[in-house]
Amino acid sequence: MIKEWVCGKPRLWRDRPTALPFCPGCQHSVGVRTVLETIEELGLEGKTIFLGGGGCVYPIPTMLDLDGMQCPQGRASSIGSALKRIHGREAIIIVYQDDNDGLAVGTEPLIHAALRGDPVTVIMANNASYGSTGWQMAPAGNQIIPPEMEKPNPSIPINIIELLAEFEGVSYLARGTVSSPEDFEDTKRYVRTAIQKQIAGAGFNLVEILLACPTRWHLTPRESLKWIREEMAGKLPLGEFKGGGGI
Amino acid sequence: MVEIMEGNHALGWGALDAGCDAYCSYPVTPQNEVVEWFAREFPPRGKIFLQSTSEIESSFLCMGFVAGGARTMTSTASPGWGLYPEGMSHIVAAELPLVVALLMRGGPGQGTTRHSQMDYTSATSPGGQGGYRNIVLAPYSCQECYDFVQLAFYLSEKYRNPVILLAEPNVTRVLEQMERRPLTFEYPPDKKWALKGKARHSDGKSRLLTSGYGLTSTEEHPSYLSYLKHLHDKFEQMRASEVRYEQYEIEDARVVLVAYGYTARVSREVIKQARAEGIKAGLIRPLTLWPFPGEPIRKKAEEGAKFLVVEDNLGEIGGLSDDVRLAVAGRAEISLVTALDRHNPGEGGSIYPGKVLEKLKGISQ
Repeated sequence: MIKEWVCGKPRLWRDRPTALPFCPGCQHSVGVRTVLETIEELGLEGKTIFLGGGGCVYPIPTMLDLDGMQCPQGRASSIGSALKRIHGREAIIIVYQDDNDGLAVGTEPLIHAALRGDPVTVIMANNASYGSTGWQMAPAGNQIIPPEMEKPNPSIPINIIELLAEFEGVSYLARGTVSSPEDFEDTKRYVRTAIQKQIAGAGFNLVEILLACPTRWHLTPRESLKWIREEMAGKLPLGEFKGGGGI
Repeated sequence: MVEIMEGNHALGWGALDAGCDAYCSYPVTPQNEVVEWFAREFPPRGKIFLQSTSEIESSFLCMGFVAGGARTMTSTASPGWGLYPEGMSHIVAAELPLVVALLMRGGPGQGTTRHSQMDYTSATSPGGQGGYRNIVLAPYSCQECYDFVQLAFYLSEKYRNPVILLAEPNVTRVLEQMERRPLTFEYPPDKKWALKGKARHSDGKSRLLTSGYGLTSTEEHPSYLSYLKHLHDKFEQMRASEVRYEQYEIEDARVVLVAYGYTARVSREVIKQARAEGIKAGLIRPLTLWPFPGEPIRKKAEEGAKFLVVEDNLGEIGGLSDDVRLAVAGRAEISLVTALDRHNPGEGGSIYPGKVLEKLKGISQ
């Protein structure tokens, strides 16, 4: 019987003696997977530089067979902008941050990389929490709060896509989830478009991926996906918002 | 060819002649002339000039440039320096080279927009998190601005560690003679660690840079302790090999002035005047503030000389006088000329020779 290969570990995940350093139900590994599969499909392994942010994301660059850097909290987009200026089209720069990193301490470098139109691809993995440090309120969505805590500022969560959409230097903005195979395929298509924009030198681009953090949300994985669909995506709608429709 | 120029521009020409590829900075007085020089001279040569949005961003843009293998320089002045330490600590931790020109103005806080020598301690000690050191070079002329920036690039790549040029506008904004003569150094070979995409490495293997060796085990540094040992040994090697200083009229000196930057020039003038009056004074001028030339100071202390530290800083609470005290270790008397001895109460006040000579006479009796 001929078996068809339908799914497996992306080649760019290194083999590890231990389990992935993520909590049960965490979707970071699925978020990164959209990037790794795209890089493999586009044949960009040899020229990709993967810059990971702080917190839960921190171990990711060590797990990949790509040139990469474990960047200080919030600073990955500055480092990505600089590397792009050095290498130009010879390198593909992927910045993978989560919301506590890129949308809190990292807003200055992120906004100015976008303003300058630096052609780098930022994956904003938004799991509405700080994750590794505990159940602290993150700027990209802290609607799930214990009753004893103060209600969050009404401007939370930050909608980074609306914020960046007006900048001339921004070439592509999209938001997806990885909650189902269909959602995964949509998000992967967004990531692919973003990277193709970078290849074309079109300007800054960002894909926000809404990810589950069951541990910090104190929800089951199934409840977490429901919460993403009903609550998070209600305030942070899904789809392509700028530069869609191909290259 | 000897030219007339200011030290700010000499920093630029020195960087260019050292093969600098990229420069990044945020405007702050009094180092804007450096930013302007690079903005004017770098892009036409196909080199990178990037104005950042803050000094925090400067430090991390620089981290990106050097991570990609580019020879990189940044410059700032005191209030901007306050934003650098986070990046400096990460750059040291990730073992990346960088040249930083730090031009000092009066502090603390917003202070003044004019000169001072008040960033000695924040430059020579680790201002950022964790234990680390940077080599600090202190030029006192336009020629030394040009020469030292070239030396700084070499040392930063030799040790894969930032090097700071510490100066004040009394040095960098003075028009002086300078000869543009590129220096030759034996730079380490290829930057095999630089990020550029794994296909562009000769061995085809991917590279990882990190400033978190306590969290990440690598082939080179399998444990946090082995990493700390490596850093420790590197700093010890700098301390053993890179001390630089200059002595002036020191042989028979009974009073030794210790100064760097503009106050060292003032001190030389004072020594001439003092010697004309029969006072045996000399100067030890550290060219590296870290590693500090404690040995020649200790030697003069053991010979029974007295010391006069001349620094435009609050001497009793730190700065150069701390390092002199450590070197002297109680063997000799130390007196100070400080920012409180400026000739003028406003921000333009400076340490003039008259005040230094007066103190020198007082202690040499």
